[in-house]
Order: sequence, then structure tokens, then C-alpha cells
Amino acid sequence: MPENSSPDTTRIDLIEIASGWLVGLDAGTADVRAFEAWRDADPRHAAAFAEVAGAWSDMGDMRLLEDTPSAPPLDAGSPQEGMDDAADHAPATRGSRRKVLRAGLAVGALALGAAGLTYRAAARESARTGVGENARVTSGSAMTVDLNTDSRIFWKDGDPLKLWLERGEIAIRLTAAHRLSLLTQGGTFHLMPGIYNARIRDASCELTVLEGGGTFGANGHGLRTGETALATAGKASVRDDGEDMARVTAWRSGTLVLNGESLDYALSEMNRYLEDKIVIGDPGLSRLRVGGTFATSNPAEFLQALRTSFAIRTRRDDTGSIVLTRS
Amino acid sequence: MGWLRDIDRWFLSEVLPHAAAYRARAAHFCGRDEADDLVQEAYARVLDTQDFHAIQSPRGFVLTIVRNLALERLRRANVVRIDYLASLEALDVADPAPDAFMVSSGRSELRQLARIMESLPPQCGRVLHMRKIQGMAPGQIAEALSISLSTVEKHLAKGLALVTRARRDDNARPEVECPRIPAPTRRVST
Repeated sequence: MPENSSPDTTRIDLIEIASGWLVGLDAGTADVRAFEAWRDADPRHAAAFAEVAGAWSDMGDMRLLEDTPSAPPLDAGSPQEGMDDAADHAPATRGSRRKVLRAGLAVGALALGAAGLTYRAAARESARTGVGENARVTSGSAMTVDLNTDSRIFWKDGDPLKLWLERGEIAIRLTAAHRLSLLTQGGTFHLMPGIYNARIRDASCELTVLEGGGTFGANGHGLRTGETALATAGKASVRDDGEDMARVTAWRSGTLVLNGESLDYALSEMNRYLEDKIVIGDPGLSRLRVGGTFATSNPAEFLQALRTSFAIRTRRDDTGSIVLTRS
Repeated sequence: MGWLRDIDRWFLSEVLPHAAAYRARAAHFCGRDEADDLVQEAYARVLDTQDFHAIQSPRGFVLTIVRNLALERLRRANVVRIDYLASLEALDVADPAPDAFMVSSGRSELRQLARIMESLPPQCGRVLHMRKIQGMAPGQIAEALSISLSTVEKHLAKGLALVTRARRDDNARPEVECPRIPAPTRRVST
């Protein structure tokens, strides 16, 4: 990396230079070898060029949005005539492109409504839930995704479908004849039709196969129904949860199932759903074991259980957190 | 576009759509002034990667690079806040500014682009419109407007640079609107 960081001027210049190259290449006036030498000289050049190329290509997609006219005032006849007159300069593809454009204008009214949909097929969608919220999204008839609290996903149509789990927890239902690549920071899962639960835990992703199957990573480590894979940095460890499936899916009915876990763990699970977190005010409490089924939408029930079972006192501190202490 | 390499196409489809996230994380670590520079440096590292196909999660990969570069810079700085560095280590998993990560849907991205194009200097915007939306070749544009081909190219290059920069600024905006530090829930777990 260059030691002298005079970022502003360098950065701006790079975008301008990259734009110059792209426009020259597009017009056929640039020396391709000179361009490649420039790009290869520094990955910063390559990055600037790619960014500029992205903007360039997206502007082409705007033809889908011809209803938002940024059109410059053009005299009715002349540019069209100009285009026809200059047809001999134009590459062969130009004609078909124009046809596409004209067709697009002809169905302009339709396109107005459909443009979003059309473009969506090529673009990446996203959805998120806040703390305590849940949501459901669908991708056509191929996939339904339920988002648990505080989650974020991106997805993209195609074969296979692509789904990025950025944060939180989701349940995926993939219908017959569709395949899905689930991309997470822990690695990529390739899934067959079925039902799956995926949850981000620290730097890992935990995927449970409720129905269906798939593989993980490049070497295709197989996953079967009933198995849970914990993927970290491209490697997965698989365990068989057997009858524990109900706990994995409990969140979809708004409940948290605890089976003798430490209070520490129980709180970390419950707090996922709460804006005002429950915190332990007395270190001795953290090793208490908690069991039961609790509604995640309302912590009162959970707190009541703690009070009655363990004689724990609860109070709100001035930040709104609920502090647990021994009574 | 024939002049894009494999790695560039991959960069465009897998890395760049998350620009707002990188920008937000960089700003969280190093402040807004340095954020762009940090992100550009991360892009350069990514494009320097030989085996880019092996990267499982490009978004996570770039976020990690951003974080590492930020740590490098902070360590190099004379005044280092130890507690801050420690909190950065813990941030490996947490999103620094979740609300900034909204990658807008395709339609609104195009609308945003339309807005940017409308704000270009008139001649610039007109030429860009003729090339990209009406699909006219540069030579045809030169003829239609009675200007030289090199002038057409100058307008196109200027417009393209302005659009690219404006998109970058738009990426920065959500982070400015909702700066959010992760809730310090960790403090209670001891």
C-alpha cells in the first residue's frame, strides 16, 4: 500500500481516469493494451474501473424505467433521422437494441407497473426485522423465508436461488425442483428442496435440516434430515440433534424452549427478542439452571418464573435494562 | 462488457452491492472522513486476490478486510484508545450500524440513478442519456448534436465520473442518518 495517503485527490482522479478509459473503450477509440497496462499497474485502478463500469452498466438498466424522463429535450424528428442516417456507423446489434427500445416505449404504460418486477429478477432483494419483530418473505413460488427477531437477509432469483444470511435467524422452505445456495460468513450451503433453519452464531452459521438435504462447501460435505451443521470459516462440524428439532423451530410459534440451560444462556436467548435487555446483577446467578417454555413476545412470564422459582428480584435501571439480583 | 475480467464481474455482482455496509463499518472504525479511503483500499486488496473464487462470502470477506485495515491504521496512530481496540475485537460478529445496510431494491436503485442523472450538467446529462438510455452509438451522438466525437467522449466521461461519485455519496448517507453503536450487552456477562 502506498505510504503517502493523500486520498482525496487520488481517489477522485482515479474515478475520472477510469471513466475516461471506459468511455474510450466503449467508443472504440482507446488503446486496449494501454488500458490493460494501466489497470494491471495497481489494484486501485482496477477497483475504480470496476466501480465505474458498474455505474455504466446500471445506467443501461434504466431503460426499464423510461417512465422517469431524464430525457434531454430532443427535436422530434432529427435525432431519429440522424440515427437512421448514421446506421452505417452503427454495429449490427444497434438495430435490435433500438427495436427493444421502441418496443419498450410502445408498452410504456405496462412497463410502468412491471419495471420493478422485471428488474427485481436481476437485482438483489433484502429484508430485515428489528428486535422483537418477525417477517415472512417469498421468492415467487420457489422459496418462503421466515425471519426471526433482529435478522437480515438478501436474496436473488436464479438457478440456484441465492440467499445471504447476514444476521439473525431464518426458516427456509424450498419447494420442489428448486435449489438454493445459502451464503453465510461461515461458508456456503447448497440445499435441495426441503425445510431448513439457519442461525448466525458469532462468526459461525448453524444450519439444521428439518427436511431435505444438501451439501456444505466446495468439497460437498453431505447433510441429511435431522442433522445440524455448524459452519465456521468454510469448515463444518455436523451433529445429529434427533428429537431436539422442536426446540429449533419453537421460535416460529413465538416460544423459547429451555431445558436446564444456564441462566446466562437463557438470558442471551430471551434478550434477542427484547429492546430492553435483561441483565444479571449478581454474578452468582449466572449458573442457575432454567427450564420451561416461555413466550418471546412478553418477558413478564419469564421474569415471573424467575421470581417464583429462584427468589430473584427484578428492577429496571435508568437505561431501561431489567436487572436481576438475589432477593 | 468485454473489457471486464472474470474478477471484475465477480466484484460487480458479489462485492459492490454491499458498498453501504463497507462504508458504514469503515466509518464506524475510522470516522467518515477516512471511510471512503479505507473502503477503496479494501477493494484494492480484494481485486488483488488470486483465488477469488474460493471466497465463500465476499461481503463478509470485505467487511473483515475493512476491519483489519482499520485496526492497522488505529495501531499506527499515536493515540490509541485501548478500550476502543478491545471493543473492535469483539465486533467481529456484530454489525456496527445495522440500519445502514439496507441495500435498496432494484427499482429504488434505478430511481436514485435517475435522480442523479437528472442533476447532471445539461450537456453531460443529454449525451449520457442518448448513449445509455436511447442506445445511440457515440458517433451517432456526435452527428446528431454536431459536435466532435472527442467532445462526446468528454461529456460521457465527465457524466460517468459524476454519477459514480454521487452513488458513493448516496451509499454514505444512511450511515450518516443513523449512526448506531452496538448495545454494550457484553458488560453484564461477567
